[in-house]
Amino acid sequence: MVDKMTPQDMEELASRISEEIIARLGGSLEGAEAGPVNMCGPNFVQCGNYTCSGNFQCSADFKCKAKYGVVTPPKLQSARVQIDGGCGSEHAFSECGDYTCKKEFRCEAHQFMCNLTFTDTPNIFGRL
Amino acid sequence: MKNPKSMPDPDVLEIIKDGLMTGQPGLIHIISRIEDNLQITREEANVLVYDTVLRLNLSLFPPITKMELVLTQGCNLTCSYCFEKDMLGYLRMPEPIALKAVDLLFRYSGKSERLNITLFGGEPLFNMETLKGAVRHAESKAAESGKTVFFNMTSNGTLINEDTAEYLAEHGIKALVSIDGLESTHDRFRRDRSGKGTFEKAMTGLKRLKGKQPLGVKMTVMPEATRDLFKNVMGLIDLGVTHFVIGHASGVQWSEEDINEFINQWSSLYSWYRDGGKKRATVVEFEEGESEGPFYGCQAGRNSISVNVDGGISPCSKMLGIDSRNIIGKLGNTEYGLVNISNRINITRCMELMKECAKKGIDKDYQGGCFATNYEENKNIFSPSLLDYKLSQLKKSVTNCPTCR
Repeated sequence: MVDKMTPQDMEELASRISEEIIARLGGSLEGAEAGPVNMCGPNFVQCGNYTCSGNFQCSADFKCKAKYGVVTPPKLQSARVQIDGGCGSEHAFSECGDYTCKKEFRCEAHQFMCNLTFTDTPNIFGRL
Repeated sequence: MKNPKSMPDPDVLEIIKDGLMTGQPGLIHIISRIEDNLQITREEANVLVYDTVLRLNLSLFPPITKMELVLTQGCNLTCSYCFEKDMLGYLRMPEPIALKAVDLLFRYSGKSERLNITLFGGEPLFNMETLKGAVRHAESKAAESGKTVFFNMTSNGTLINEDTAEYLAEHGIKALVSIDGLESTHDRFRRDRSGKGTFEKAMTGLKRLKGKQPLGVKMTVMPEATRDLFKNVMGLIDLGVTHFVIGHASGVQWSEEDINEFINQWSSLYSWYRDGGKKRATVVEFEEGESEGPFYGCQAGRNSISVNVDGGISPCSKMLGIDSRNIIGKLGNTEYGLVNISNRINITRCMELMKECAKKGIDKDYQGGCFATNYEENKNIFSPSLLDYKLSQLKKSVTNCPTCR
């Protein structure tokens, strides 16, 4: 006799299947196939103007690399600023990963954080 | 016998993945394989597919926060420029489909707290029963989930009676009535099935909303009517209109002369607005500017969807109107959710749209425009409409020029 599935069983199974499918999609979405900044969601990380799929992270040279263990061959092109951050004049703002920095701040490429330009204050971060 | 709580076999997982990554997933095949492999009932397999697809969408894409409900394809008017001309019939959305659509919006909204439902048609007031059912259900879902839902309705205004006006006010449904200008302009394009102009009826409906909500109109500007744009807006303000959404007609020919006249009128309107006109009325386009956000493409399919009378889900109602049978860029249906994952990937990341913009040399100052208009002009949703590009640039030049008159 097979047990009937409860709604919780169903949710757990759906979660495991979707994770497995995302992992299987990972290969095809990683590297050269990765999308530009507008592909977003919790399983993607922004890497310059591109995105890396869930199992990868963005490295300082704007390439997707494996989060854990073996580094996969980087296939992404170098990042280039192409899309205005969406707030204000392009001259007053610069794109910085998920954020847009005001003109007096610069983008720290390795962390995608906005740092004050021309000062030694390193820790003024965030969505500015 | 296999434990039903265990994972499907690798070959079945591959079938699910491949199926969802095609433009038209063969759901019946996928479901029957899951049913056999896990030895579960068809009903359980259906729930499993819905939940799996939901999780995939929430993981891969932005949440859905806006939904258009095409409550009916029926309309009592025959407007000359209507993008749904080929779609209009008498089909109405049954209430169970509307309820499933509302459920889908709440589930696909993830952690987003502010949701938006647009009651659309044809003429949505032709299907009051389903409209009321959908509103009631959304209000109840909002109350139980702690989310807020906002309602809008696009209507031709001719069926708004006192009871309807009361109902809309009671439920906070903001109506946008399609009125293209004063009588001589409106009646040229917006006629009923006997060929009679509908200005009087539409204005009567609109005025019934007075005192209950702001009086808002959606103006579609045809090339032949551009020279009266400013006059029409002023005239409608004198009649009590306080809220305008103004767009040029698509899918029709615009000559250079028409475009120049449109921009002249737009410039006059903007000057008036900037110099104090905004105290009398709101022009949504001047408030929002022409910015499309920091991404290529529009919101359609990204965080907004449109549900057809039969539950088919399209990125937007305009795309549905172009071909409601084959649904361009179809995303799924209310039964199983947004199953056409590959279409959502293409629409959301817009690689092709970026490339096409670059090919036309407009990628630096244009983000691809409206998928439906692109399709109307080029038979490809990712090939940008050059008319839209030109008009958007000209409009930007008007609103970004502080000294222009």
